[in-house]
Amino acid sequence: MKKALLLILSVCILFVTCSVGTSGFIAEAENDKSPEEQLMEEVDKTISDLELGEFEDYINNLEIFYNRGGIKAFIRDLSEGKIEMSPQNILRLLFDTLTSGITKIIPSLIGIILIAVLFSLVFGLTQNFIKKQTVEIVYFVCYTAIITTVVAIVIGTVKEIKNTITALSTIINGIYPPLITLVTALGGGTSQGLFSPGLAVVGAVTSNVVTKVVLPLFIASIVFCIVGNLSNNVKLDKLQSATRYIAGGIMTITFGGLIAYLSISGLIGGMSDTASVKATKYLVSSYVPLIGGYLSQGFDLVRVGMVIVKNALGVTGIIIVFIVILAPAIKLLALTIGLKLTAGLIEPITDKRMSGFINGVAESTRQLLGAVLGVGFVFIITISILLFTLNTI
Amino acid sequence: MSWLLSLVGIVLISVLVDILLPSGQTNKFIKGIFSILVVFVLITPLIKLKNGNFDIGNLFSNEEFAVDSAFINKANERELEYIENNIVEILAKKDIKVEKVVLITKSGNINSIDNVQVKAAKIEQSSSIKSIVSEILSIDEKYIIVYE
Repeated sequence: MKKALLLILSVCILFVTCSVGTSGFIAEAENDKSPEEQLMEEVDKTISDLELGEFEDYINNLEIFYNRGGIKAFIRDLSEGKIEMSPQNILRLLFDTLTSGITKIIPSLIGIILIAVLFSLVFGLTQNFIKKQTVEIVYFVCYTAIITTVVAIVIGTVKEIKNTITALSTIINGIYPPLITLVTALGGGTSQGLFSPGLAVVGAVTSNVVTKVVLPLFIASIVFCIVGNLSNNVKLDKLQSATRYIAGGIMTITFGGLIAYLSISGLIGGMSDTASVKATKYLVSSYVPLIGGYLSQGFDLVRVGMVIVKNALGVTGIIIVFIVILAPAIKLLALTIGLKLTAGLIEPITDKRMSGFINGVAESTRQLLGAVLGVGFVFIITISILLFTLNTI
Repeated sequence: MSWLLSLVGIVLISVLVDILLPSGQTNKFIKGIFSILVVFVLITPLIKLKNGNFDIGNLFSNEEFAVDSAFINKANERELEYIENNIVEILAKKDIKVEKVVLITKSGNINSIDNVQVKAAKIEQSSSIKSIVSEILSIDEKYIIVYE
């Protein structure tokens, strides 16, 4: 939970601190148009020339972009500072999604509580005159009913997570090429050489690790939880805990390693390319300072325009990733909270295996929440690294 | 999936046996056997993993992201166009009229200028034009071609 909160806080800080602007310099123009008008013309040309391919069709179906005339129009508005993102709107969106998630699972959780109460009543009324085996059969029946309810919720959740990870991979594979193209066009040859193979690995590894390793381990831990609480003779609590620990360790190593690799690539590429871009600019403007500054206007206009578009595209990518992971992450959070509360409510009144099972499932879904947030965090960090590459020209 | 189903099956049978059999030494003995069977089923995938061909390379992709060369060429062309127009304006400020300036580059960007072709109104101003353009672009005058 602490790790999830930390991740969410980091994303919020990124939103607050990242800037669409640039620290490039434009010399004063001597023609009819103001520098700002010339710059916006240049930004428009850059956006029009940018090839987004099938990614553009995919993203334009999202409501936020459909209502604004498509992703290119959104990037244009973002470049001109027309998009407002207030903290109140973001928090309201988070709260609404959380309450909607909790509302959807409440009927199932109430059903679980009622089954537990029913078992408790039956056990309490009949324990003195029925055999232990009969009590076990009654427990078995109630337990099966609870398993059916919980597993139905979990299966729906797993399907949603798989679709989310697939959607994120598609989005990332669509947004990295134009960002890499803009970095290359700005003179980032070294960055492009370092990032291109690395980013392809990021997209493939994160989605493969989650869908082929973490999700199967999650399903295995749920099965261990079901089986371990079926009978007092077979206990699988430690095995379930070990499964969760292995999944957590794999995610930490994978995501941490990828972020470290891309951060170092960004630092090396950024230092080398910034120096070469500055050297080129110096060559062009090494004439008499006044005229040199005038001459570098053409050089700056195109490049500053590309930096603005690169930053706007990067911010758009971060917004898209945030929107895509928000709903499933909040639903998982709501499910975890709901299951934990249910386990706590039924613990005093029913067999400890029932509350143990529900608590075990809650622990597993908490880990799945960490996986989803981790994937989103990795993608946001990689987009941010590209966003901040060659920003000062 | 088959492993999970085997595990669930063994445990279910163990529970049924526990319910059906009367309590006593036989019951404890059979519970012990089923516990060993459960442990055996649990470690089966580890044995398969050791003997099987698990390749971590399957998690990686061999693809790289392709850069949009057409976009980069267009951006370079626009940069060169701006610089060419600005050189014309700078020369005009110094009362040197030129019709057009064309920068010929090796790889399409400002970093690799091959030569500069200037179409001047008066060929007599050729040396002034070469001198000014040479200073602006920091290139040798021999790479500047002035024609009328």
